[in-house]
Amino acid sequence: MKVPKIVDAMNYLDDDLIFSAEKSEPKKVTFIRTKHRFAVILAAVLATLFLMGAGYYVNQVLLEKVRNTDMSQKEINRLGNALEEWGFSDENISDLNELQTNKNGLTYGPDALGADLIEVISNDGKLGYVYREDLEISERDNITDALTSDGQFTINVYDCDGETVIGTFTLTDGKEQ
Amino acid sequence: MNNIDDLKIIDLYFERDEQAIKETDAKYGKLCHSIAYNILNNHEDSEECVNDTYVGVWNAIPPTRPNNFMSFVCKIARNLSLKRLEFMKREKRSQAVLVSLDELETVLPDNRFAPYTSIEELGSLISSFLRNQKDDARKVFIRKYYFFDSIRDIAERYSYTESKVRNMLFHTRNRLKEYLKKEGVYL
Repeated sequence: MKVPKIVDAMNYLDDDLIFSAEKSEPKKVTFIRTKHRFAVILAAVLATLFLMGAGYYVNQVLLEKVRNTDMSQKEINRLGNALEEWGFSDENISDLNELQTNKNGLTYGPDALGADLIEVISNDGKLGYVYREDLEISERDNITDALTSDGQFTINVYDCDGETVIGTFTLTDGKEQ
Repeated sequence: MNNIDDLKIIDLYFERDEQAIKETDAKYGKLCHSIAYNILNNHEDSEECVNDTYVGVWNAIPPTRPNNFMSFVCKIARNLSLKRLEFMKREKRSQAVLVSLDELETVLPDNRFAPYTSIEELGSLISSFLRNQKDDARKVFIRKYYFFDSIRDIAERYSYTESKVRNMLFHTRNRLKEYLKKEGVYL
């Protein structure tokens, strides 16, 4: 085998070219090897998109949960901010989505979800439920009739069956105490 | 351009002080060995080539006073390694360097080499060509066809993928071929 002339000719390259190629500093090795860099970047992008999607989904779920209530937009925003601030996830709020139904077919649970029997704490500290229409009396025309002399009115608090009275719940001038 | 250490080593050669060879070995022994090993793919042969390189440098200096001692030593090591390669049995040859030689030969086969052009002139033309190439392409080309580094080593050195290095070499070879045709070296 004879070495081709062009290979021999390479031996006559200018010194500075050889010097610069020999002395060229290897690039610093990063924690990601070049051949893995694309995969890592792709994984990071996908993870970011996933997290953004998950965040969006949670927000949509929250929005959907409150959309059918009679909450004002301001209240909805406030609730959304509060839930976000408290770190609620889709899993955390899954149980909020399902109102319980009692033997009479009435739903009971949080006001925000539009329950027939709204969850309250009675005057003596028990967990119970009030009828939505009783609570909304403050918004009706006959509020004046319902008020006592000291500007309050009291409604019954029931067990979840909507029949057993377990206490009372007092409102003042149409506002919860 | 020589640095102070190289100038001192060259002075030792001029003084015929054998310390010059020890200093050369300390500073450039590893580099010479890597060049020889890239070509010969055999540590024993490479070691002999490195020793021959020191003899070559000893015989050349004086009278030569190289402007760039490192390149001077590299050239001798490379030249001796290529000569040794010619005499080695085929099974002992480095497959990688044979591929490199073949790749370069496609740029300018010997039978297309203009007879009135000398090897030195061709080397000078290649230098001119490389000066007009991008820095990264130039360095990769020299690492491959001067130092006979493997594709993998070049990729590691510059943090490129191996396919990128192959691609760069392919395009640089093609451009060199066109350049040599334009310069009338490729007939």
